[in-house]
Amino acid sequence: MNTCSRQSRASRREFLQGLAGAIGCGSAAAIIPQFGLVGSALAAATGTVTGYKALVCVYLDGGNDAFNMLVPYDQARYDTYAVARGGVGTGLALDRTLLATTQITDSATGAEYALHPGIPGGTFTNDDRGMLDLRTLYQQNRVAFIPNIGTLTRPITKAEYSAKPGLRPPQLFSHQDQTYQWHFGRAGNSSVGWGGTVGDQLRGQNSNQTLSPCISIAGDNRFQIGLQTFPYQMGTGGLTALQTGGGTPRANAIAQILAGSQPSPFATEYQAVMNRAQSVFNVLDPALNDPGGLGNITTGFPLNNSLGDQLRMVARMIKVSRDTDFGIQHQRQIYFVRLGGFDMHDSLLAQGANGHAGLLQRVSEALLAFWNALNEIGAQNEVTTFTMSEFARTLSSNGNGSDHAWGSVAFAMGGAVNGGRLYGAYPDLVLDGATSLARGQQIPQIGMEQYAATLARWLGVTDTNALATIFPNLDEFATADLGFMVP
Amino acid sequence: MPLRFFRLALVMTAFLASSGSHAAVYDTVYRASFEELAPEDQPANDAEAARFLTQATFGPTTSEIALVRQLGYSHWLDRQLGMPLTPSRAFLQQLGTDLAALVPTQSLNPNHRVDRWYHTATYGRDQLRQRMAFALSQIFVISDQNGAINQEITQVAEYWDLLGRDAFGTYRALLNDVTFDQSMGKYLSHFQNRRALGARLPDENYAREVMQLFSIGLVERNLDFSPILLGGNPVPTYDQNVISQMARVFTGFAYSNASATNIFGGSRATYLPMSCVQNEHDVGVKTVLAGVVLPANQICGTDVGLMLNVISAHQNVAPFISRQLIQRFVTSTPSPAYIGRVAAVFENNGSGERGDLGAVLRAILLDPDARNVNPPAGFGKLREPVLRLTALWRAWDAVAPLPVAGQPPGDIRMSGTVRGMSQTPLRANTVFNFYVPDFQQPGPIAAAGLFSPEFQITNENSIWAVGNTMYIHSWLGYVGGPVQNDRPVLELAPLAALAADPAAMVELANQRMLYGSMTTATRNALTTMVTALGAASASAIDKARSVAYVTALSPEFATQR
Repeated sequence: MNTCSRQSRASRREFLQGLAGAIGCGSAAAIIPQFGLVGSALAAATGTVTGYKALVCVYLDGGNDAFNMLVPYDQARYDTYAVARGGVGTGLALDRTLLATTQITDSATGAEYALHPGIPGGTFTNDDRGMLDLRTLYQQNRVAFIPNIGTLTRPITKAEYSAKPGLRPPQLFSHQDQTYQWHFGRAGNSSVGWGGTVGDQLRGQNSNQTLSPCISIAGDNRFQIGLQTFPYQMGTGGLTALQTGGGTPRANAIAQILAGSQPSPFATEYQAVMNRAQSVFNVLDPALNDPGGLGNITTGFPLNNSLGDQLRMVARMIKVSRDTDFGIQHQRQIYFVRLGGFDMHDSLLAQGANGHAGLLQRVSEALLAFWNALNEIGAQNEVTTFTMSEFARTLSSNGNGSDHAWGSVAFAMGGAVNGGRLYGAYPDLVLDGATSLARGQQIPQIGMEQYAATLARWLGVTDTNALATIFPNLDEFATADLGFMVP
Repeated sequence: MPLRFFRLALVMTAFLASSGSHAAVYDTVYRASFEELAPEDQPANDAEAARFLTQATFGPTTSEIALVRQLGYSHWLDRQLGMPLTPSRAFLQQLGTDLAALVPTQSLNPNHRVDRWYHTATYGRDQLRQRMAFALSQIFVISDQNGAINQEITQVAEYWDLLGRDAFGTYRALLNDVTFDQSMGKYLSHFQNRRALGARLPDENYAREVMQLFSIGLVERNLDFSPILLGGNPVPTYDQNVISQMARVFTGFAYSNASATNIFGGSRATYLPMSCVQNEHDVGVKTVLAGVVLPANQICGTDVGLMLNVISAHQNVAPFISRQLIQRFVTSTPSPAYIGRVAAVFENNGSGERGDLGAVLRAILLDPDARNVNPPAGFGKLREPVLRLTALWRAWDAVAPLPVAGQPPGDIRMSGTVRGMSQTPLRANTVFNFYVPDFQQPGPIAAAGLFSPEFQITNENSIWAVGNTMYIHSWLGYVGGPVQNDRPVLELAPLAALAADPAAMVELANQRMLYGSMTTATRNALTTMVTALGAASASAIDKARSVAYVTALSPEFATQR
């Protein structure tokens, strides 16, 4: 028998263990949606939808070294951080004198932090600005940080981590598995992601049903796959028509070939993708490609910044989508963009564009430009941007970089974000501490589904049963709403 | 009634001697006898031969179809298994020298390697070896998107040659060569990986990926790839402790020309296998995969060698590697029985040798599941975009562009206008390749329990980008059209010669591009198109390039079964 066994769902925990056990199965049965389990709770959209709202997921791919993104600044905690990271120059610690330029305060506790200040001497831009722009947004109370967040099946102590390996998220420290778990919104296997299932819930309020509520500018992802929802994928350069060489005979032949009967499901699916491309193109092309099209914006975005390029397209699509006269008329959307390169086993502190500093500077500058574009559109309060990354990185060095770790720091940005503070306790940055492993891997104190559920609720999924189905582990945690969104 | 073919097998010893690393027991013996081809070993017609070549090469050509019919499958494979490697690193070294001789500031750029790759794929005689190297490059992934190797074109080309040289050798030899390759060392950061000192611990990247991706995967498996279950749950093959211990094994690697005591010595100009500097190698006791204990105080070469022995001996390797190779050549969802048959050959090639990749490849291509010309509906796959492009070129005997004006003869821009394919050889976005083996396209494919890795890069954006690349290389790339120095051009004269007979034109496209699999709907659409073009007084060549392009967009061309 080539299928993994599926345990009867006597309890949520057993169901989760069954799913977790299915994660490695080579058979398709492990990945086919468990329809009986998710169908009823997701049958109908919930809540009353007014106006337009969108979530924008910024995926920091590779495992963001988050404790150099948000660094403790008061002398005592900075010193602890520096020791754990092996010192300035000898290890991975950032120089405290540089941190002064990006210093922030947690309005909830008064504690002092700093964002990555950049590393001078590189050739990325004329001045290595680090996260100065994000700091500006934070000081306007538009950015909220969520510290020590990660994948968890349920809250776990360090003793339990060692004594009961079955309680750990499956395949901890593995890129692909941890990335998928953040996309799924659960520390186990799934055929659907939480962006897609949220899209399933809310797409009923969208007028144009051919265009998915989930739009990706960064290609394929698990996050935006739901039961009826798949991501519509776009590039940063807008839409390019399929060439036919002009005239009607070739165009007609192509259309007929794409409608013809085929014996293979691979051939049939190829036709389906081709035809979806045409259908959406017909709607979007006028808005995005015409010089005076609706999808034009004037806000400038930073050069040499692929995240900025992606967010610019997001802004244009938001403008087009929320317009109440144009042929999209979506009220709820979820976007996915991505910046890669964070898997810094080497050269974490490299200067310029290729180090962690350069990547975070790109994130910071792209987000400020996006904020300004949303202002141009009039959608600042309607769009919430948030980060995800598969894990943070070891506090200790491997020579000139850091390796895979666990609990990280995420942040949300937007007009509806109750920002200027942290939501959750910033961890003690020590090696082999009370809540950290040998190399400073932090045991998360916040489950990533608590964060995701907070965002999903703001977008419009308010029904408790629906949230519990999208996030099966949610009831293991103290709260389903971390409170960083203005209702 | 089957025809009786007499054939004379060819002596291949000269080829064997020059083809490098090679499974010792794999010998082609000179046969002077005349033997009949077994019925299952011979294609019944051109279409079957072309289908086989679609699986085994970068696309059928009329001459290769004839050769397969003459030799039969087995002896065609024999010949290919003895075919020497078309070199890339030496070629690119010469090109680099020639470029600099013309203009001293000129040097190789990463796209020269890609140009060479496409040239070899399209025109190389070692088709099976290159297909295998391409398949292996999607398992043992390096990518020149990585900043550490992006400008090391010669070294990355050496890695490609390595995969080609080892394509038909043993898995163990391949694993050794991959581990010690300098580009792999830089890509997965075990190059200059130092033993622990104070808070600094060795990099774990290679230790993790060599198991997760290059050998055994995440859970224990049977020979047919089904997971082994304990109490109903899969069994992990390793945990983080194992990785941390194995990270200590992969320490001390340095440039080939580093001194014996300086891990940072040597020069990046070398492309030879990495050396291992003993004073930076962890010499402690290590408990690694499967509980094996590596004793203390071993020299690096011994430590690494034993480690690779342990990995290579794991029972997962046969099904894990076999299944992915089947996916690259034949079908995305091989049956457990098919996987089991191939994995059994991996375990024992019939002469008691384990890991014989040449034998594995023969088993994959000669398996009844692969040779069945009426396979079940779920059999087959979406074809990789790169392989569709090379197939288009080979189907029409594409003429390579002339060398770039003013540049050396080796500067041939095969990929000058290749865009948006979502895959470039040795240039994947991550170590997880362009797509994962377990990807299932949501919708009917997933509902049917089928896998479809290539659909992971197929979306409303990329599918048109690939289509437009086909457009550039057919409608805008044909002999007789405007001269193009940045792309090969299709020789469509055989198609144009049939311009007065739409049905014949369409059938030729069916034979050249679709190995006879054209559906009624596609045939009708193409025939109608040619007739309509004729009514509008289109030229013969315009009809021909229309047929070539539109056929390249067809579902039949995009898939194989």
